[in-house]
Amino acid sequence: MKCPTPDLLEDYAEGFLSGTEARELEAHLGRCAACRQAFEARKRWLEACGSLPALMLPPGFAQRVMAAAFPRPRRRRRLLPALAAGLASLSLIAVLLIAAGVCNLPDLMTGSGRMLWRGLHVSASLGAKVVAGLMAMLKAAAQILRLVWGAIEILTAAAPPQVPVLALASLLVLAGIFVFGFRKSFIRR
Amino acid sequence: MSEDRELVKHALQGDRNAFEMLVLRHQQPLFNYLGRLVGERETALDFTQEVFLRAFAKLESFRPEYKFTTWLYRIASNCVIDHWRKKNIPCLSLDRSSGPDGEDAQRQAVDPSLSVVAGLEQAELRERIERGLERLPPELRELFVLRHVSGFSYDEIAAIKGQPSGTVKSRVFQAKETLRRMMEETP
Repeated sequence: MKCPTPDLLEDYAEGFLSGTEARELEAHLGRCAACRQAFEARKRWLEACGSLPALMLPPGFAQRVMAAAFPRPRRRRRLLPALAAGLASLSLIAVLLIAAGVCNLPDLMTGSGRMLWRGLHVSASLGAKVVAGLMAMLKAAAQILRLVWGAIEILTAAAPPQVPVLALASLLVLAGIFVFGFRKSFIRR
Repeated sequence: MSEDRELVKHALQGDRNAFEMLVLRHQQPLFNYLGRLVGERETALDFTQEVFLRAFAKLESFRPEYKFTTWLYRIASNCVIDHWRKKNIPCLSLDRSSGPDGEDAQRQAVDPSLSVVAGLEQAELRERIERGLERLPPELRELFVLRHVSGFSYDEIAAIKGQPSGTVKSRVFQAKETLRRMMEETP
């Protein structure tokens, strides 16, 4: 037998050769030191190829896959039935309390009516205060704007006619740079 | 393997636990295969999940006369090939002949170039193979991984890739020879 090809040596190392072929090769390896050495190297090479360390999955990966395969229904859908169930339970409790005589219906209605009125009164006065505050802020802003406008008028009257045009052009350029710089925020991919 | 078929049957009947069992059985080897192919841990995790989701979506197309692993790895292989194509990484067909390099390697009588093996400890050799694997052309890397990392037989790889077993065997050999040459060129 001639010296075997590398793929034949590999077939032998992997146990793919028939009985006769394997015996012939073994006889050759017994005689030829170079081939024996090549076979040993190939065996080591194959062992190394087949024993690379495993890459380990993070714990709980299967749960991640299952969550993606079976997504949970949205919570919002459950909110309305829960609200309805809560209201129905409260009504039922109220009816039971009245029926059992624990609560007096006219007193209960008067009491809850008063509470409701007080609540409305408090929220209305609070709302009025908020609106008054907002109005004061708007007035202050208007005063500031009036002052700024006056200053601009004085400046433009004193300056030559090219200056306002130049200022307007600069403002436009600045606005352009601003919009261009933040275009990613405005444009959705 | 018949257990896989049973689990698929139950999963198709709506048994969530059966599908979870399939995931638990195959997640680790599948991640190992995909991790060695794409080389990035996070991408490999996403791919592993994606493969299970694709498998779940087309579980009805699984034919029980075939092995579940073969079917699952075919999905995984297509998933990775799609990714390589999107990234413009050239993928060659297995139909292509081995080329002069592969033929030479097979004709060579004695293989003196395995000297790269001789001077190295087994751990160091493994480390160099891992590094070399990242530079191996994708289609050869996949065959190497299927054979030597996932431990599939040539017939199983042939079924996964839809190619003759002989072609697969010679390409796996070519993958190893290319890897060895690359290791010699860059010590």
